[in-house]
Amino acid sequence: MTTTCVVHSYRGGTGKSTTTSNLSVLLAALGKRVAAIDMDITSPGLHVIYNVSSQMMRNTLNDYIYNRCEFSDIVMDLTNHLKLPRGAVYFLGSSMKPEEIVKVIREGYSEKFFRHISEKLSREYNIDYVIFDTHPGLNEDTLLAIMSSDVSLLLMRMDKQDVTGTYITSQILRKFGKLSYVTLNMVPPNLAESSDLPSEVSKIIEAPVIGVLPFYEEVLSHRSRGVFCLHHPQHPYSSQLLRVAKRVIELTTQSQNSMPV
Amino acid sequence: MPEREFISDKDSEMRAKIRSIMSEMNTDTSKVEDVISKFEDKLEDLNSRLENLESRVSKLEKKFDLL
Ligand SMILES: Nc1ncnc2c1ncn2[C@@H]1O[C@H](COP(=O)(O)OP(=O)(O)OP(=O)(O)O)[C@@H](O)[C@H]1O
Ligand SMILES: [Mg+2]
Repeated sequence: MTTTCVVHSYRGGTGKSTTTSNLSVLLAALGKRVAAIDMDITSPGLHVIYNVSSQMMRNTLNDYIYNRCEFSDIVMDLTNHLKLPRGAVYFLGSSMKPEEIVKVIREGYSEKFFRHISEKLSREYNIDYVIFDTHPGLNEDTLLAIMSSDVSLLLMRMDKQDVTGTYITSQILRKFGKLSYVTLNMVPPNLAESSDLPSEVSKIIEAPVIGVLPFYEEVLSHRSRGVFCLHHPQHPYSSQLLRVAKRVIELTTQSQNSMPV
Repeated sequence: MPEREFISDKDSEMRAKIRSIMSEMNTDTSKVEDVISKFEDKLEDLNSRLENLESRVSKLEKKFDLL
């Protein structure tokens, strides 16, 4: 059974790509087969964190959409590249070429695109979790990704603008009938120590908060040079996010079990 | 070469649905204001509780130093 998950936030720079990449290797460490997809088609960057060079990324989602390559050409197995001892991480990148970006924005794609990709990953690569990294805000392409996925992980900082946006986003997702879980990121360290924080924020924004990730100087100064958790497995950021990964597994297994047959 | 069936379909059914749900949200702005003010109050409350705790801990530490 493949679960599709969107990592999203109302505002930019909340840590979506950092979370996507770290979550992928942590799910792999828990024995899962994961595919991370850069759906931030207007400003892709996930490949940078995975240290995927343009030479390695010969074909992108853009090439596949326009029938210029086969599916296997865009699926990169990063398991050895990242030296993962367990599980697997695959990566599907998005083109950084401006001419490709304008084309895909102008011409678009339908929801079939997401289902097609997820089904192929499930069938041909035996993937447990497909994670879509997205462009921030309530744009149509991102909402399409959300509508086509099983769960959404919304990232939010402890900032008034983020709160408003996350509240509105989760209200919309509810209208769509979609499950959304919130993770607080870049939380001031002293505040992160408050055990009441997740439940209090959940009540206010009317959406379940499943994780709290403090702001760490070390994560910021890592400057997206590789997946942080792999370089610093003992760091509290890694252990906190591991808890989120376990929670995601728990929640998605539960919802699968309760799904009508 | 024919393009794959899932592309160039910006007017798909689901896109139309997204547009219609979004247009009919009827967002209650006073409710949004309320969420923000509750959030601000809660943060202040949590912060002051933490400060309180810290000052109590430091007082305790001083006491132990004296012993
Ligand atoms: N918990 C954290 N503590 C400190 N820095 C963090 C944390 N999480 C993410 N960052 C840093 O914040 C910056 C933005 O992160 P990232 O690029 O993942 O955000 P994003 O949401 O993907 O941005 P965009 O909306 O532009 O796609 C990066 O430099 C990252 O290292
Ligand atoms: Mg990003």
